[in-house]
Amino acid sequence: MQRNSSNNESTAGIISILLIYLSLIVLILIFAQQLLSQISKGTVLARIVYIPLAIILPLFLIFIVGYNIIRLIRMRKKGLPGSRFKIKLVIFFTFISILASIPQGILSLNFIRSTMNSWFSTQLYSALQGGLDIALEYNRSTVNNLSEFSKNDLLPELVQRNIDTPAFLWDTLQSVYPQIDSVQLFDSSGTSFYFRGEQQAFMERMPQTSSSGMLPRTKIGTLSIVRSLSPLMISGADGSLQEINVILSVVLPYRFDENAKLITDALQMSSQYYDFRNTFMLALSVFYFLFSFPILLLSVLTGFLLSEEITRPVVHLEDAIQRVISGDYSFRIMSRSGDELSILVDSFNSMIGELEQSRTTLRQTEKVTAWQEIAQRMAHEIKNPLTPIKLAAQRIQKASDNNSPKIHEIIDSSVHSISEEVEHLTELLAEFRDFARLPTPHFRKCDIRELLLKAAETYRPNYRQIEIMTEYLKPAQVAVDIHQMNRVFSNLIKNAFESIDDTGTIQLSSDLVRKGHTQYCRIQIKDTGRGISREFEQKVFHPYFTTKAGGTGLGLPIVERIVSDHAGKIWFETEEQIGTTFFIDLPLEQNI
Amino acid sequence: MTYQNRYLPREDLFTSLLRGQKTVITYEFRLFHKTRGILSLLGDKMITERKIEYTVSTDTFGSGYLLETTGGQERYENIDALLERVEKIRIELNRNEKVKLNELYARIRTTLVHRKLAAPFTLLEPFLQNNRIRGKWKEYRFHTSDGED
Repeated sequence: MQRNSSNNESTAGIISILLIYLSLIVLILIFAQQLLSQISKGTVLARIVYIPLAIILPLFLIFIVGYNIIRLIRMRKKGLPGSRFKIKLVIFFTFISILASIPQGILSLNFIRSTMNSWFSTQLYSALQGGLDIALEYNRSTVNNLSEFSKNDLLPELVQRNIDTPAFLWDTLQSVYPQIDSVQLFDSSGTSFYFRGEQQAFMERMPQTSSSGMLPRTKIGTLSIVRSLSPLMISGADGSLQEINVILSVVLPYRFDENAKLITDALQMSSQYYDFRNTFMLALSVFYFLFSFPILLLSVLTGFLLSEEITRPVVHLEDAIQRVISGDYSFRIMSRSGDELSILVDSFNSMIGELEQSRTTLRQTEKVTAWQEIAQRMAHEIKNPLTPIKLAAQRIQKASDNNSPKIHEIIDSSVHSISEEVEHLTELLAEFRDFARLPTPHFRKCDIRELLLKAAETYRPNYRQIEIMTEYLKPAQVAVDIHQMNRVFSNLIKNAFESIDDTGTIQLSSDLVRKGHTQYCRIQIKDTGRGISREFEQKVFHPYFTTKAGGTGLGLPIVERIVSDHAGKIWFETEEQIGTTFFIDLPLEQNI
Repeated sequence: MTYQNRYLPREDLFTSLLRGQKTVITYEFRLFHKTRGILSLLGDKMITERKIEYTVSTDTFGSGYLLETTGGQERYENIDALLERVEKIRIELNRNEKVKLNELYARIRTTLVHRKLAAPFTLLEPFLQNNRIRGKWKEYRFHTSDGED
């Protein structure tokens, strides 16, 4: 089930990344399309509506990446399984992305720079400048020639000579000034009465101008025409003077103005390149960064996702191991078929299965052995008082048979001895009952510090010479059965007091520790007593093992049992003539 | 409506033309409808927006000036004629008869770009602040008959 939810999370993550990636690509394409379209049209980037998008998206991605980084740092601080490995993987993926994008960026920008350098080379600039000079020179000479010819005295003479036969005027003009393309004559009222030459140069009416000389250049379609106006006074056949306006036209070569404009524009572009090339490369770098930064963030995000995916089986394995350590053998890891780690997971699962089976068998064996041992010990412990009882009874019988004068004393002494032994037997059976059938613990949150202090105070009056140190005893709220835990602490503290022959100290301390996902309260009861000899170390928690005269040997086994019922752990460290420290780990919360 | 611009930075225009640069004059026009009541907190409603762009340069092959508009190229023999043309704009508006004239007003802003950038250097326009003089928005009130502000 845990595996299924993890898989769903992983699929959702991959889909999210894919969606963000697709959105990013679409946005970049739109952005690039608008940008390139505006650049190619030569329009100014006045409406940069996509700039907010170019800012919002990276900000959104920065937020997500930042969130993931903080999450990972927190995981690392908590020491959660797989966090270190995940950090390494994320750093690795980020470096790979940066290392891949930097050369790509440098290469792209260098390619653009070298391409533009070759486009706008100095040879090209010189060629364009030369072309423009030629065009200007041609234009200047055409205009000057026409202007000079229109002012020349020859023109009135030619017009005067051919006024009666205008048909010859054109031929005569062409022979004198071959560059001319048309001639048009207007009378004083502005009416055209003669036109010869290039038809497109024909004028419907006389231009409204008061000055003679060159007229403004006119454009008809792709043709540009330069004209001159010469007002002449011509003598008529009757000798009267009449005003005639002569318009001479030269048609410039096909698309002359357009081509000249193209050269001018190209020159302007070249000069702008030399003026702005550094700024241009800087702007290109900025735009490249705007494009590549979200992609880089996205790759970092993908790194997070991939690292999650890679470390997940390892985390599950570690989690499972922790559960096994804490005694939960029922846990199994689900693996995807075809997964590289599925063999490992399957092996782990079968190992846990075998371990569980072995543990059960071992427990059964241990139980039988324990019961055998208990039966032997019980028989021994019961047999021990039976002998004095039997002896006391025989003593009474003998005194009665012999009519002993001290029969009353003998009966009193023997009955007292029998009562003592029976009481010991009763006590032994009560302890055995407690050990065999401890009541189910009823957990309640309580302060461990108070329980320990209360237990210590119970025995303090009998051991005034022993000092109790509690400076490291911190308050900790732990879910325990107060009655049972009081018994544990009383037993251990009593043992500690009894182990000190004369003077000494008992140190009580508590702290919080984490094992896997569980937090524990660690309690230490340290004495400066005799310690436990090496030969007895392994038998301390065995039932009916005791070194005390009159001890039942069930105190510490009951303590171990109670701690175990609290899902805790008890152990000790000891050294002869130095002292003993008992450690108890109790979980703060009980999973009931 | 016709608008006579009195805020065109002529000196800057002359300087740019003398340097042989193509200069761009842009008029941004926005027509607003005044909002009344609580909605006025949101600002007035913009009805329409227009942009008129003139590119001015000296005629390399003549003595005059060239004006490029969306309608094509025009040639002016002297600077006065050119200024007369570029300082006056006429905008055709389809007026909703239900809206009273005194509820409408326009805002016009003039921008002069000293040196028109050629492609692909238009990319640099946002970075070259010195290449541009942008005037403030001027408000234009309508009268019963169109007039100047």
